[in-house]
Amino acid sequence: MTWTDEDKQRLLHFKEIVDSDDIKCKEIIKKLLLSNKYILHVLNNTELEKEDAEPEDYYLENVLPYYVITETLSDVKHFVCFEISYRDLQRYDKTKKLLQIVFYILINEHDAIELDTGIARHDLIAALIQDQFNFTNYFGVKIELVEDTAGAVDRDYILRTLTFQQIVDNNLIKDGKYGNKEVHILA
Amino acid sequence: MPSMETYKKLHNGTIGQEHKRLSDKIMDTTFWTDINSRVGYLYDYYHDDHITQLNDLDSPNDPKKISIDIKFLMNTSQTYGNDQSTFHLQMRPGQECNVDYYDEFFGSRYNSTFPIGLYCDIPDEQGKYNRWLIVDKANYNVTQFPTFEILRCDYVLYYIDDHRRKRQIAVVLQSQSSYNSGIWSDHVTTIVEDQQKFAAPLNRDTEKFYYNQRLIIDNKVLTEPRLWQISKINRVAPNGIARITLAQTKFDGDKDYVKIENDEVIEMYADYYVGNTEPTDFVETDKIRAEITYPGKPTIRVGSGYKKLAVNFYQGESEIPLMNGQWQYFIGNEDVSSLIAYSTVDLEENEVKIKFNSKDINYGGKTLTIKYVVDTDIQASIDLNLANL
Repeated sequence: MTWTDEDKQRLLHFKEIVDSDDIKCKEIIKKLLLSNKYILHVLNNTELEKEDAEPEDYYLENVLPYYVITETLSDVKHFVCFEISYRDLQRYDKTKKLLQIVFYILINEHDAIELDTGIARHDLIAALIQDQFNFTNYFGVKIELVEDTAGAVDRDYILRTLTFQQIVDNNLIKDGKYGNKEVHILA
Repeated sequence: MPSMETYKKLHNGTIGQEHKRLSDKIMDTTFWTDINSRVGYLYDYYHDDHITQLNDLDSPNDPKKISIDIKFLMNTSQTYGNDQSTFHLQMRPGQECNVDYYDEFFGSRYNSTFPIGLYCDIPDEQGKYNRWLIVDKANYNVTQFPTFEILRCDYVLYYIDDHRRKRQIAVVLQSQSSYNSGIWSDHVTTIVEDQQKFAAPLNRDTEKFYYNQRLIIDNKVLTEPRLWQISKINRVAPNGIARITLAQTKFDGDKDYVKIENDEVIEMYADYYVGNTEPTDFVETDKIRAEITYPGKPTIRVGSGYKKLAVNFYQGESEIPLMNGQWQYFIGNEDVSSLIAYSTVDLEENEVKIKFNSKDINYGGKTLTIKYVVDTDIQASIDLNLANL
Protein backbone atom coordinates (compact mmCIF):
# COMPACT_ATOMS: atom_id res chain seq x y z
CA MET A 1 0.00 0.00 0.00
CA THR A 2 1.47 3.32 -1.01
CA TRP A 3 0.75 6.47 0.93
CA THR A 4 0.80 9.66 -1.09
CA ASP A 5 0.58 13.36 -0.32
CA GLU A 6 -2.88 13.20 -1.88
CA ASP A 7 -3.92 10.61 0.69
CA LYS A 8 -2.65 12.85 3.43
CA GLN A 9 -4.61 15.76 2.00
CA ARG A 10 -7.70 13.59 2.05
CA LEU A 11 -7.38 13.04 5.79
CA LEU A 12 -6.52 16.64 6.53
CA HIS A 13 -9.61 17.63 4.62
CA PHE A 14 -11.71 16.39 7.53
CA LYS A 15 -10.56 19.38 9.53
CA GLU A 16 -12.47 21.65 7.20
CA ILE A 17 -15.51 19.81 5.92
CA VAL A 18 -18.72 19.77 7.84
CA ASP A 19 -19.43 16.04 7.82
CA SER A 20 -17.65 15.44 11.06
CA ASP A 21 -18.78 17.85 13.73
CA ASP A 22 -16.37 16.13 16.10
CA ILE A 23 -13.22 17.10 14.22
CA LYS A 24 -14.44 20.51 13.13
CA CYS A 25 -15.59 21.59 16.59
CA LYS A 26 -12.51 20.22 18.34
CA GLU A 27 -10.27 22.20 16.00
CA ILE A 28 -12.11 25.37 16.93
CA ILE A 29 -12.09 24.61 20.66
CA LYS A 30 -8.39 23.81 20.62
CA LYS A 31 -7.53 27.12 18.96
CA LEU A 32 -9.75 29.08 21.35
CA LEU A 33 -8.46 27.43 24.51
CA LEU A 34 -4.83 27.81 23.50
CA SER A 35 -5.40 31.47 22.68
CA ASN A 36 -6.80 32.15 26.14
CA LYS A 37 -3.83 33.13 28.27
CA TYR A 38 -5.98 33.27 31.40
CA ILE A 39 -6.97 29.61 31.13
CA LEU A 40 -3.39 28.58 30.42
CA HIS A 41 -2.17 30.60 33.40
CA VAL A 42 -4.74 29.13 35.78
CA LEU A 43 -3.79 25.62 34.60
CA ASN A 44 -0.58 26.46 36.49
CA ASN A 45 1.91 24.24 34.67
CA THR A 46 4.99 25.57 36.45
CA GLU A 47 7.30 23.48 34.31
CA LEU A 48 6.05 25.04 31.09
CA GLU A 49 5.89 28.52 32.65
CA LYS A 50 9.48 28.19 33.77
CA GLU A 51 10.44 27.25 30.22
CA ASP A 52 8.49 30.23 28.92
CA ALA A 53 6.65 27.77 26.70
CA GLU A 54 4.35 28.74 23.88
CA PRO A 55 0.58 28.18 24.16
CA GLU A 56 0.75 25.21 21.81
CA ASP A 57 3.04 23.39 24.22
CA TYR A 58 0.05 23.07 26.55
CA TYR A 59 -1.77 20.97 23.96
CA LEU A 60 -1.72 17.28 24.92
CA GLU A 61 -0.01 18.30 28.18
CA ASN A 62 -2.83 20.09 29.99
CA VAL A 63 -5.37 20.59 27.21
CA LEU A 64 -6.62 17.28 25.87
CA PRO A 65 -9.13 16.57 23.07
CA TYR A 66 -10.33 13.46 24.91
CA TYR A 67 -11.41 12.53 28.41
CA VAL A 68 -9.00 9.83 29.45
CA ILE A 69 -5.66 10.21 31.21
CA THR A 70 -3.69 7.01 31.35
CA GLU A 71 -0.25 8.32 32.30
CA THR A 72 0.76 7.78 35.92
CA LEU A 73 0.51 11.20 37.48
CA SER A 74 3.42 11.67 39.82
CA ASP A 75 3.32 15.48 39.81
CA VAL A 76 0.52 17.91 40.57
CA LYS A 77 -1.06 18.67 37.20
CA HIS A 78 -4.41 20.02 36.00
CA PHE A 79 -6.32 19.28 32.82
CA VAL A 80 -9.01 20.66 30.59
CA CYS A 81 -10.46 17.88 28.44
CA PHE A 82 -13.17 18.33 25.85
CA GLU A 83 -15.45 16.01 23.94
CA ILE A 84 -18.16 16.38 21.33
CA SER A 85 -21.25 14.22 21.19
CA TYR A 86 -24.89 14.16 20.28
CA ARG A 87 -27.63 11.76 21.06
CA ASP A 88 -30.89 13.62 20.61
CA LEU A 89 -32.53 15.21 17.65
CA GLN A 90 -34.65 18.25 18.02
CA ARG A 91 -38.18 17.25 18.80
CA TYR A 92 -40.39 17.04 15.69
CA ASP A 93 -37.51 18.01 13.41
CA LYS A 94 -35.15 15.32 12.18
CA THR A 95 -33.10 17.85 10.26
CA LYS A 96 -31.72 19.31 13.49
CA LYS A 97 -29.67 17.73 16.23
CA LEU A 98 -28.63 18.86 19.69
CA LEU A 99 -24.85 18.85 19.51
CA GLN A 100 -23.11 18.94 22.87
CA ILE A 101 -19.67 20.22 23.69
CA VAL A 102 -18.52 18.95 27.05
CA PHE A 103 -15.56 20.36 28.97
CA TYR A 104 -14.11 18.24 31.77
CA ILE A 105 -12.01 20.35 34.13
CA LEU A 106 -9.77 18.13 36.28
CA ILE A 107 -7.99 19.86 39.14
CA ASN A 108 -5.55 18.19 41.51
CA GLU A 109 -6.71 18.88 45.04
CA HIS A 110 -3.15 19.65 46.21
CA ASP A 111 -3.35 22.87 44.20
CA ALA A 112 -7.08 23.43 44.28
CA ILE A 113 -7.07 27.14 45.05
CA GLU A 114 -5.84 29.80 42.63
CA LEU A 115 -3.66 31.93 44.88
CA ASP A 116 -3.99 35.32 43.13
CA THR A 117 -7.73 35.28 43.61
CA GLY A 118 -8.50 32.71 46.29
CA ILE A 119 -11.04 31.14 43.93
CA ALA A 120 -11.25 27.35 43.61
CA ARG A 121 -9.28 26.54 40.47
CA HIS A 122 -11.97 24.37 38.87
CA ASP A 123 -14.53 27.12 39.33
CA LEU A 124 -12.21 29.76 37.90
CA ILE A 125 -11.40 27.73 34.79
CA ALA A 126 -15.10 26.94 34.36
CA ALA A 127 -15.90 30.66 34.59
CA LEU A 128 -13.21 31.45 32.01
CA ILE A 129 -14.53 28.79 29.62
CA GLN A 130 -18.08 29.98 30.16
CA ASP A 131 -16.95 33.53 29.51
CA GLN A 132 -15.18 32.51 26.34
CA PHE A 133 -17.80 30.18 24.85
CA ASN A 134 -21.27 30.90 26.18
CA PHE A 135 -23.63 32.62 23.73
CA THR A 136 -20.94 32.74 21.05
CA ASN A 137 -21.22 31.50 17.50
CA TYR A 138 -17.70 30.24 16.92
CA PHE A 139 -19.21 26.99 15.62
CA GLY A 140 -21.59 28.68 13.23
CA VAL A 141 -24.60 28.82 15.51
CA LYS A 142 -25.04 30.08 19.02
CA ILE A 143 -24.08 27.75 21.84
CA GLU A 144 -25.48 27.84 25.33
CA LEU A 145 -24.39 26.39 28.62
CA VAL A 146 -27.02 23.81 29.57
CA GLU A 147 -25.34 21.91 32.38
CA ASP A 148 -22.69 22.67 34.97
CA THR A 149 -21.92 19.93 37.49
CA ALA A 150 -19.16 19.34 40.02
CA GLY A 151 -17.80 16.22 41.63
CA ALA A 152 -14.69 14.21 42.29
CA VAL A 153 -13.23 11.52 40.06
CA ASP A 154 -11.09 10.08 42.84
CA ARG A 155 -9.34 11.13 46.03
CA ASP A 156 -7.01 13.44 44.14
CA TYR A 157 -8.99 15.02 41.35
CA ILE A 158 -11.82 17.53 41.50
CA LEU A 159 -14.02 17.54 38.43
CA ARG A 160 -16.26 20.22 36.98
CA THR A 161 -18.20 19.39 33.85
CA LEU A 162 -19.56 22.10 31.59
CA THR A 163 -21.96 21.09 28.83
CA PHE A 164 -22.71 23.51 26.05
CA GLN A 165 -25.38 22.79 23.48
CA GLN A 166 -26.08 23.99 19.99
CA ILE A 167 -28.79 23.14 17.49
CA VAL A 168 -27.18 22.26 14.18
CA ASP A 169 -28.06 20.58 10.93
CA ASN A 170 -28.31 16.82 11.19
CA ASN A 171 -26.51 15.02 8.39
CA LEU A 172 -28.01 17.15 5.68
CA ILE A 173 -25.03 17.03 3.44
CA LYS A 174 -22.39 14.49 2.66
CA ASP A 175 -18.92 15.28 1.56
CA GLY A 176 -17.77 13.56 -1.60
CA LYS A 177 -14.21 13.63 -2.74
CA TYR A 178 -12.56 16.93 -1.98
CA GLY A 179 -15.61 18.93 -1.24
CA ASN A 180 -18.06 17.70 -3.87
CA LYS A 181 -20.89 17.87 -1.47
CA GLU A 182 -24.23 16.13 -1.85
CA VAL A 183 -27.47 17.06 -0.20
CA HIS A 184 -28.77 14.20 1.86
CA ILE A 185 -32.55 13.92 1.90
CA LEU A 186 -33.80 12.52 5.17
CA ALA A 187 -36.41 9.84 4.78
CA MET B 1 41.47 -10.96 93.79
CA PRO B 2 40.97 -7.81 91.72
CA SER B 3 37.81 -5.86 92.23
CA MET B 4 35.27 -5.37 89.44
CA GLU B 5 36.53 -1.81 89.02
CA THR B 6 40.10 -3.03 88.60
CA TYR B 7 38.96 -5.67 86.10
CA LYS B 8 37.10 -3.03 84.07
CA LYS B 9 40.16 -0.79 84.10
CA LEU B 10 42.36 -3.68 82.99
CA HIS B 11 40.03 -4.78 80.21
CA ASN B 12 38.40 -1.47 79.43
CA GLY B 13 34.73 -2.48 79.63
CA THR B 14 32.35 -5.19 80.73
CA ILE B 15 32.89 -8.91 80.47
CA GLY B 16 30.54 -8.96 77.48
CA GLN B 17 32.57 -6.27 75.79
CA GLU B 18 35.71 -8.22 76.49
CA HIS B 19 34.13 -11.33 74.96
CA LYS B 20 33.27 -9.29 71.89
CA ARG B 21 36.79 -7.96 71.66
CA LEU B 22 38.26 -11.43 71.93
CA SER B 23 35.78 -12.83 69.43
CA ASP B 24 36.70 -10.12 66.97
CA LYS B 25 40.35 -10.89 67.48
CA ILE B 26 39.80 -14.62 66.94
CA MET B 27 37.67 -13.97 63.88
CA ASP B 28 40.32 -11.67 62.47
CA THR B 29 43.19 -14.04 63.21
CA THR B 30 41.45 -17.14 61.91
CA PHE B 31 39.80 -15.38 58.97
CA TRP B 32 41.63 -17.41 56.34
CA THR B 33 41.02 -20.78 58.02
CA ASP B 34 37.41 -20.73 56.88
CA ILE B 35 36.60 -22.41 53.56
CA ASN B 36 34.16 -19.55 52.87
CA SER B 37 36.87 -16.90 52.99
CA ARG B 38 37.69 -15.25 49.72
CA VAL B 39 38.98 -12.02 48.26
CA GLY B 40 36.19 -10.01 46.67
CA TYR B 41 36.46 -6.88 44.55
CA LEU B 42 34.33 -3.81 45.19
CA TYR B 43 33.42 -1.14 42.66
CA ASP B 44 30.47 0.91 41.49
CA TYR B 45 28.79 1.54 38.15
CA TYR B 46 31.13 4.42 37.31
CA HIS B 47 34.32 2.50 38.03
CA ASP B 48 33.57 -0.43 35.81
CA ASP B 49 35.05 -1.02 32.38
CA HIS B 50 32.88 -4.08 31.69
CA ILE B 51 29.37 -2.93 32.55
CA THR B 52 27.64 -5.61 30.48
CA GLN B 53 29.69 -8.53 31.75
CA LEU B 54 28.15 -10.48 34.60
CA ASN B 55 30.34 -13.57 34.92
CA ASP B 56 33.93 -14.70 34.52
CA LEU B 57 35.38 -11.26 35.18
CA ASP B 58 39.09 -10.63 35.41
CA SER B 59 38.75 -8.75 38.68
CA PRO B 60 42.23 -9.21 40.22
CA ASN B 61 43.81 -7.50 37.22
CA ASP B 62 41.35 -4.62 37.10
CA PRO B 63 42.95 -1.53 38.67
CA LYS B 64 39.56 0.12 39.25
CA LYS B 65 38.34 -2.65 41.53
CA ILE B 66 39.23 -2.61 45.21
CA SER B 67 40.01 -5.88 46.97
CA ILE B 68 38.41 -6.78 50.26
CA ASP B 69 38.56 -9.87 52.47
CA ILE B 70 35.14 -11.47 52.73
CA LYS B 71 33.38 -14.60 53.79
CA PHE B 72 30.82 -15.82 51.31
CA LEU B 73 28.05 -17.42 53.34
CA MET B 74 24.93 -19.14 52.13
CA ASN B 75 21.91 -18.06 54.10
CA THR B 76 18.99 -20.45 54.00
CA SER B 77 17.06 -19.14 56.96
CA GLN B 78 15.19 -16.69 54.78
CA THR B 79 15.08 -15.60 51.20
CA TYR B 80 15.41 -11.92 50.64
CA GLY B 81 14.85 -12.10 46.95
CA ASN B 82 11.75 -14.30 47.14
CA ASP B 83 13.00 -16.54 44.44
CA GLN B 84 16.68 -17.28 44.88
CA SER B 85 18.71 -18.50 47.84
CA THR B 86 20.38 -15.49 49.25
CA PHE B 87 23.97 -15.27 50.25
CA HIS B 88 25.61 -13.16 52.87
CA LEU B 89 28.86 -11.36 52.65
CA GLN B 90 30.79 -11.01 55.88
CA MET B 91 33.66 -8.60 56.29
CA ARG B 92 36.49 -8.63 58.78
CA PRO B 93 35.56 -7.23 62.19
CA GLY B 94 36.02 -3.48 62.23
CA GLN B 95 36.44 -3.35 58.46
CA GLU B 96 36.58 0.32 57.47
CA CYS B 97 35.28 1.68 54.17
CA ASN B 98 38.14 1.20 51.73
CA VAL B 99 36.35 2.60 48.66
CA ASP B 100 37.37 6.25 48.67
CA TYR B 101 34.48 7.46 46.53
CA TYR B 102 31.80 5.63 48.52
CA ASP B 103 30.86 8.57 50.69
CA GLU B 104 30.54 10.95 47.74
CA PHE B 105 28.58 8.56 45.53
CA PHE B 106 26.47 6.75 48.17
CA GLY B 107 26.98 7.68 51.81
CA SER B 108 26.31 11.40 51.81
CA ARG B 109 23.99 11.29 48.80
CA TYR B 110 21.70 8.42 49.80
CA ASN B 111 22.53 8.01 53.49
CA SER B 112 23.57 4.46 52.77
CA THR B 113 26.01 2.32 54.70
CA PHE B 114 29.20 0.94 53.24
CA PRO B 115 29.22 -1.27 51.14
CA ILE B 116 25.50 -1.25 50.20
CA GLY B 117 24.97 -0.28 46.56
CA LEU B 118 28.36 -1.49 45.38
CA TYR B 119 29.00 -4.40 43.09
CA CYS B 120 31.26 -7.10 44.45
CA ASP B 121 33.02 -9.64 42.25
CA ILE B 122 33.21 -12.91 44.18
CA PRO B 123 35.02 -16.02 42.98
CA ASP B 124 32.94 -19.19 42.72
CA GLU B 125 34.16 -22.72 43.44
CA GLN B 126 36.08 -22.77 40.17
CA GLY B 127 37.71 -19.45 40.98
CA LYS B 128 35.72 -17.52 38.38
CA TYR B 129 34.69 -14.06 39.45
CA ASN B 130 30.98 -13.32 39.17
CA ARG B 131 29.21 -10.03 39.74
CA TRP B 132 27.07 -9.65 42.84
CA LEU B 133 25.17 -6.64 44.14
CA ILE B 134 25.29 -5.74 47.83
CA VAL B 135 21.68 -4.90 48.59
CA ASP B 136 21.20 -4.59 52.35
CA LYS B 137 22.50 -5.20 55.84
CA ALA B 138 21.92 -8.71 57.17
CA ASN B 139 22.42 -7.98 60.84
CA TYR B 140 19.14 -9.60 61.80
CA ASN B 141 20.86 -12.96 61.59
CA VAL B 142 24.35 -12.35 62.86
CA THR B 143 24.82 -9.35 65.06
CA GLN B 144 28.31 -10.30 66.10
CA PHE B 145 29.99 -9.58 62.80
CA PRO B 146 28.86 -7.21 60.04
CA THR B 147 27.18 -9.16 57.26
CA PHE B 148 25.34 -8.01 54.16
CA GLU B 149 22.74 -9.41 51.80
CA ILE B 150 24.10 -9.99 48.31
CA LEU B 151 22.27 -11.01 45.15
CA ARG B 152 23.79 -12.31 41.95
CA CYS B 153 23.48 -9.90 39.04
CA ASP B 154 21.64 -11.86 36.40
CA TYR B 155 20.51 -9.36 33.81
CA VAL B 156 21.84 -6.46 31.76
CA LEU B 157 19.17 -3.83 31.41
CA TYR B 158 19.10 -1.73 28.25
CA TYR B 159 17.43 1.66 28.53
CA ILE B 160 17.38 5.15 27.07
CA ASP B 161 18.36 7.82 29.57
CA ASP B 162 16.93 11.32 30.01
CA HIS B 163 19.48 12.72 27.55
CA ARG B 164 18.28 10.19 24.94
CA ARG B 165 21.46 8.12 25.20
CA LYS B 166 21.68 4.34 25.04
CA ARG B 167 22.63 2.93 28.43
CA GLN B 168 23.18 -0.49 29.98
CA ILE B 169 23.38 -1.52 33.59
CA ALA B 170 23.77 -4.85 35.40
CA VAL B 171 20.78 -5.54 37.66
CA VAL B 172 19.17 -8.31 39.68
CA LEU B 173 15.82 -9.53 38.45
CA GLN B 174 13.38 -10.55 41.16
CA SER B 175 9.97 -12.09 40.87
CA GLN B 176 7.04 -10.09 42.10
CA SER B 177 4.01 -11.68 43.69
CA SER B 178 1.21 -11.37 41.20
CA TYR B 179 -2.29 -12.46 42.02
CA ASN B 180 -3.48 -12.60 38.46
CA SER B 181 -3.14 -14.85 35.47
CA GLY B 182 -0.94 -12.42 33.60
CA ILE B 183 -3.72 -11.14 31.38
CA TRP B 184 -6.70 -8.92 31.92
CA SER B 185 -9.87 -9.29 29.92
CA ASP B 186 -12.72 -6.86 29.92
CA HIS B 187 -15.81 -7.33 27.81
CA VAL B 188 -14.05 -6.11 24.68
CA THR B 189 -10.30 -6.61 24.84
CA THR B 190 -7.63 -8.70 26.54
CA ILE B 191 -4.34 -7.13 27.55
CA VAL B 192 -1.17 -8.32 29.28
CA GLU B 193 -0.94 -7.76 33.01
CA ASP B 194 2.06 -9.43 34.57
CA GLN B 195 4.48 -7.96 37.07
CA GLN B 196 8.22 -8.00 37.49
CA LYS B 197 10.82 -6.35 39.68
CA PHE B 198 14.51 -5.59 39.62
CA ALA B 199 17.12 -4.18 41.97
CA ALA B 200 19.87 -1.88 40.73
CA PRO B 201 22.51 0.18 42.47
CA LEU B 202 21.19 3.67 43.13
CA ASN B 203 23.30 6.23 41.31
CA ARG B 204 22.99 9.47 39.38
CA ASP B 205 21.51 7.56 36.45
CA THR B 206 19.25 5.01 38.09
CA GLU B 207 17.81 7.66 40.41
CA LYS B 208 16.28 9.16 37.26
CA PHE B 209 14.10 6.15 36.44
CA TYR B 210 10.59 7.54 36.17
CA TYR B 211 7.01 6.33 36.30
CA ASN B 212 5.77 4.87 33.01
CA GLN B 213 9.31 4.52 31.69
CA ARG B 214 9.18 1.63 29.26
CA LEU B 215 11.79 -1.11 29.20
CA ILE B 216 12.31 -4.30 27.24
CA ILE B 217 13.17 -7.07 29.68
CA ASP B 218 13.37 -10.47 28.11
CA ASN B 219 15.75 -13.19 27.13
CA LYS B 220 17.35 -12.56 23.81
CA VAL B 221 14.76 -14.66 22.04
CA LEU B 222 13.70 -13.96 18.51
CA THR B 223 9.99 -14.01 19.20
CA GLU B 224 8.14 -10.89 20.24
CA PRO B 225 9.87 -9.19 23.19
CA ARG B 226 8.25 -8.49 26.55
CA LEU B 227 7.69 -4.84 27.36
CA TRP B 228 7.37 -3.41 30.85
CA GLN B 229 6.71 -0.02 32.30
CA ILE B 230 7.85 1.21 35.66
CA SER B 231 4.96 1.24 38.10
CA LYS B 232 6.79 1.64 41.40
CA ILE B 233 10.08 3.24 42.31
CA ASN B 234 11.58 2.56 45.73
CA ARG B 235 14.77 4.52 46.38
CA VAL B 236 14.83 4.50 50.17
CA ALA B 237 14.47 0.96 51.45
CA PRO B 238 17.24 0.07 51.61
CA ASN B 239 19.26 3.23 51.07
CA GLY B 240 21.64 2.90 48.14
CA ILE B 241 19.50 0.53 46.10
CA ALA B 242 16.80 1.27 43.54
CA ARG B 243 14.06 -1.36 43.69
CA ILE B 244 11.87 -0.98 40.65
CA THR B 245 8.51 -2.69 40.13
CA LEU B 246 7.30 -3.18 36.59
CA ALA B 247 3.90 -3.73 35.06
CA GLN B 248 3.74 -5.51 31.75
CA THR B 249 2.78 -3.42 28.76
CA LYS B 250 2.65 -3.81 25.01
CA PHE B 251 5.38 -3.83 22.38
CA ASP B 252 5.11 -0.91 19.96
CA GLY B 253 6.87 -1.61 16.69
CA ASP B 254 7.01 2.11 15.87
CA LYS B 255 8.87 3.03 19.03
CA ASP B 256 10.62 -0.02 20.38
CA TYR B 257 13.67 -1.54 18.81
CA VAL B 258 15.32 -4.92 18.85
CA LYS B 259 18.62 -5.11 17.03
CA ILE B 260 19.12 -8.47 15.40
CA GLU B 261 22.26 -9.55 13.60
CA ASN B 262 22.80 -13.03 12.18
CA ASP B 263 19.68 -14.35 13.89
CA GLU B 264 20.95 -13.11 17.22
CA VAL B 265 19.49 -10.37 19.38
CA ILE B 266 22.22 -7.82 20.04
CA GLU B 267 20.37 -5.17 22.03
CA MET B 268 16.81 -4.27 23.04
CA TYR B 269 15.58 -0.75 23.74
CA ALA B 270 12.06 0.48 24.47
CA ASP B 271 11.13 3.96 23.25
CA TYR B 272 14.11 3.91 20.91
CA TYR B 273 12.29 6.10 18.41
CA VAL B 274 10.60 9.13 19.92
CA GLY B 275 9.49 11.68 17.37
CA ASN B 276 11.48 9.78 14.74
CA THR B 277 14.62 10.53 16.72
CA GLU B 278 17.12 7.80 17.42
CA PRO B 279 19.10 7.89 20.65
CA THR B 280 22.82 8.43 20.64
CA ASP B 281 25.50 6.19 22.05
CA PHE B 282 26.64 6.96 25.56
CA VAL B 283 30.28 7.90 25.58
CA GLU B 284 31.74 8.49 28.99
CA THR B 285 34.48 10.98 28.28
CA ASP B 286 35.26 14.57 29.13
CA LYS B 287 34.66 15.50 25.52
CA ILE B 288 32.51 18.60 25.15
CA ARG B 289 29.00 17.84 23.99
CA ALA B 290 26.01 20.01 23.17
CA GLU B 291 22.38 19.29 23.85
CA ILE B 292 19.23 20.98 22.54
CA THR B 293 16.15 21.04 24.76
CA TYR B 294 12.59 22.24 24.25
CA PRO B 295 9.43 22.40 26.36
CA GLY B 296 6.49 20.06 25.82
CA LYS B 297 6.15 17.45 23.10
CA PRO B 298 8.61 16.87 20.22
CA THR B 299 6.29 18.51 17.70
CA ILE B 300 6.11 21.83 15.91
CA ARG B 301 3.10 23.06 14.03
CA VAL B 302 3.22 23.76 10.33
CA GLY B 303 2.37 27.38 9.66
CA SER B 304 2.03 28.86 13.09
CA GLY B 305 3.14 28.67 16.69
CA TYR B 306 6.58 29.23 18.08
CA LYS B 307 8.73 26.60 19.75
CA LYS B 308 11.45 27.66 22.13
CA LEU B 309 14.77 25.87 21.84
CA ALA B 310 17.75 26.08 24.15
CA VAL B 311 21.24 24.73 23.64
CA ASN B 312 23.46 23.79 26.56
CA PHE B 313 27.02 22.54 26.65
CA TYR B 314 28.47 19.89 28.91
CA GLN B 315 31.89 18.55 29.66
CA GLY B 316 31.43 15.19 31.33
CA GLU B 317 28.38 15.79 33.50
CA SER B 318 29.20 19.48 34.22
CA GLU B 319 27.57 22.31 32.32
CA ILE B 320 29.94 24.78 30.65
CA PRO B 321 29.28 28.23 29.09
CA LEU B 322 27.68 28.72 25.69
CA MET B 323 29.90 28.30 22.66
CA ASN B 324 29.23 30.36 19.57
CA GLY B 325 27.66 28.39 16.79
CA GLN B 326 24.94 28.42 14.19
CA TRP B 327 21.39 27.07 14.16
CA GLN B 328 20.63 24.98 11.08
CA TYR B 329 17.36 23.43 9.91
CA PHE B 330 16.84 20.46 7.60
CA ILE B 331 14.11 18.21 6.33
CA GLY B 332 16.01 15.15 5.17
CA ASN B 333 18.96 16.67 3.32
CA GLU B 334 17.05 19.77 2.26
CA ASP B 335 18.08 22.98 4.03
CA VAL B 336 14.83 24.65 5.10
CA SER B 337 16.33 27.63 6.96
CA SER B 338 14.40 29.95 4.65
CA LEU B 339 11.13 28.57 6.07
CA ILE B 340 12.08 29.23 9.68
CA ALA B 341 11.09 32.45 11.42
CA TYR B 342 13.20 33.37 14.44
CA SER B 343 12.76 35.41 17.53
CA THR B 344 15.27 36.06 20.28
CA VAL B 345 13.41 38.86 22.04
CA ASP B 346 13.60 38.57 25.84
CA LEU B 347 15.47 35.27 25.58
CA GLU B 348 18.76 34.10 27.04
CA GLU B 349 21.68 34.02 24.63
CA ASN B 350 21.49 30.22 24.32
CA GLU B 351 17.80 30.31 23.40
CA VAL B 352 15.83 30.90 20.22
CA LYS B 353 12.17 30.74 19.31
CA ILE B 354 11.40 29.26 15.93
CA LYS B 355 8.32 28.98 13.80
CA PHE B 356 7.88 26.80 10.73
CA ASN B 357 6.67 29.49 8.40
CA SER B 358 4.96 27.57 5.63
CA LYS B 359 1.33 27.02 4.79
CA ASP B 360 2.10 23.87 2.83
CA ILE B 361 0.32 21.09 4.70
CA ASN B 362 2.42 18.50 2.88
CA TYR B 363 5.15 19.26 5.39
CA GLY B 364 2.91 17.70 8.03
CA GLY B 365 4.22 14.30 9.12
CA LYS B 366 7.78 15.10 8.05
CA THR B 367 10.68 15.48 10.43
CA LEU B 368 12.43 18.77 11.02
CA THR B 369 16.05 18.27 12.05
CA ILE B 370 17.47 21.15 14.05
CA LYS B 371 21.20 21.45 14.56
CA TYR B 372 23.39 23.79 16.53
CA VAL B 373 26.83 23.60 14.97
CA VAL B 374 29.97 24.97 16.60
CA ASP B 375 32.37 22.97 14.47
CA THR B 376 32.55 19.48 13.03
CA ASP B 377 33.28 17.96 16.44
CA ILE B 378 30.85 19.90 18.57
CA GLN B 379 27.28 19.96 17.41
CA ALA B 380 23.86 19.09 18.72
CA SER B 381 20.90 17.78 16.79
CA ILE B 382 17.28 17.05 17.54
CA ASP B 383 14.31 16.03 15.43
CA LEU B 384 10.86 17.55 15.78
CA ASN B 385 7.75 16.17 14.16
CA LEU B 386 6.10 18.63 11.84
CA ALA B 387 2.39 18.42 12.47
CA ASN B 388 -0.68 20.02 11.01
CA LEU B 389 -2.02 20.58 14.48
